Amino acid sequence: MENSSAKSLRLLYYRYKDTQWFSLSIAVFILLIIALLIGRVVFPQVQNWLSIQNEVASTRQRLEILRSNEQQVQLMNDAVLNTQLQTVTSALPVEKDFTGVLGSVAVAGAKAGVSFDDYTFQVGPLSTKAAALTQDPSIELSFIIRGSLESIILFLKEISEKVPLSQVVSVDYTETGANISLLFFYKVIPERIPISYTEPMKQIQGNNATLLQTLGRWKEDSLYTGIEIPATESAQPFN
Amino acid sequence: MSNEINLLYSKKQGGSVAIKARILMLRYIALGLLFIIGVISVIVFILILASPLPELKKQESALLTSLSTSHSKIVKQVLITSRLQDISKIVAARPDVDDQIVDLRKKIPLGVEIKSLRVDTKQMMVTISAASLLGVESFTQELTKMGNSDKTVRGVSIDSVEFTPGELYEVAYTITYL
Repeated sequence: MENSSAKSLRLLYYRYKDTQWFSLSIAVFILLIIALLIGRVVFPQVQNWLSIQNEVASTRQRLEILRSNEQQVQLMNDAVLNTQLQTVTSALPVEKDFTGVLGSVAVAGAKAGVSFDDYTFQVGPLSTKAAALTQDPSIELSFIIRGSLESIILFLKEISEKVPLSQVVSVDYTETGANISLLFFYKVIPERIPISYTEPMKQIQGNNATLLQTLGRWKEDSLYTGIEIPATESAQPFN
Repeated sequence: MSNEINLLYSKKQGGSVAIKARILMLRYIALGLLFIIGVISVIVFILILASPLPELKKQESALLTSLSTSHSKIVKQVLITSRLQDISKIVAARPDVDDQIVDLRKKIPLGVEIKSLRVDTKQMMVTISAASLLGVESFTQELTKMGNSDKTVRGVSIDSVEFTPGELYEVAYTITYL
């Protein structure tokens, strides 16, 4: 047995099916479905397709970079990389390299023909955490050298071409010798090295390659060959 | 009972037919639009299915895996390039003190000697001794020229002039750098 609402619907259908209102309501109903389809199906689908297209373009771009990086990595020689890393690390050590500093000063002094009278280190904080917070961490070394102005100039030239890298803070020259203050730079390796495979790897070329060659030469030139700096009591920072 | 058959629409009936025709047209248009929307939806669906994205993602994943096996090499390379950047900044920024002193020495005439010299990053203080004022004058002129021509020099000043019992003139200058 049909219920009353179905009956009344059927009655309504037979009453209005041949009228213009029925035709109009069907047309309006179809238009409503179209609007619903556009809003709920077609528009999201098109949006989805467009975002897929964008993703395809960016993935293709990343793939190109990844392929280029892979080619570059395949060409890298581990031994060469180690040598280059040693070179840059000797120029800009990862911590306070007292041996390197004393070695380069001794070699520069020997080449310039000056003698050392007294020297002091300003050690500063030893922890790498403190150094990591500093913009350009450095060790300051002050010493007195005996020699003529020519030999002092030669010493300054020699020390500027030695590793670890240094910068002259002050030179106080009198006829008996000179008091020289130098800053030796170092830089702590950050705890997290930002590496992204999807970014183009920087190649060592152009100015960087020239600089690396120069540093390699300076490193060879800074090799400590047993020249000793006469140490005084004040020059024993670790005792 | 009516015996007439009127084949023409009355005014009222004529309007009703026109409306019916319009409504019918509207129905066809609506159905046509529904069909078009359906076709568009299917085309977009096929386009999404045919997208090369899954294949590209696979390739990306394979390349990432391949690169991760060479991670240590990449870390070394990144460290080298980053240190080289830092080093080039240091090298570019550090003053060439030896060249500054050499330049100063070139300006010293015969009979004039450097008695003391203090150089730091901001200034150079030099004291010369000379047996005659001619040497002092010549050196002062050279320094003045340098002050006028060298763009890195902010100013040159004479700090003191002394005449010692050994009949030597001692003049102290300060050259301030930018």
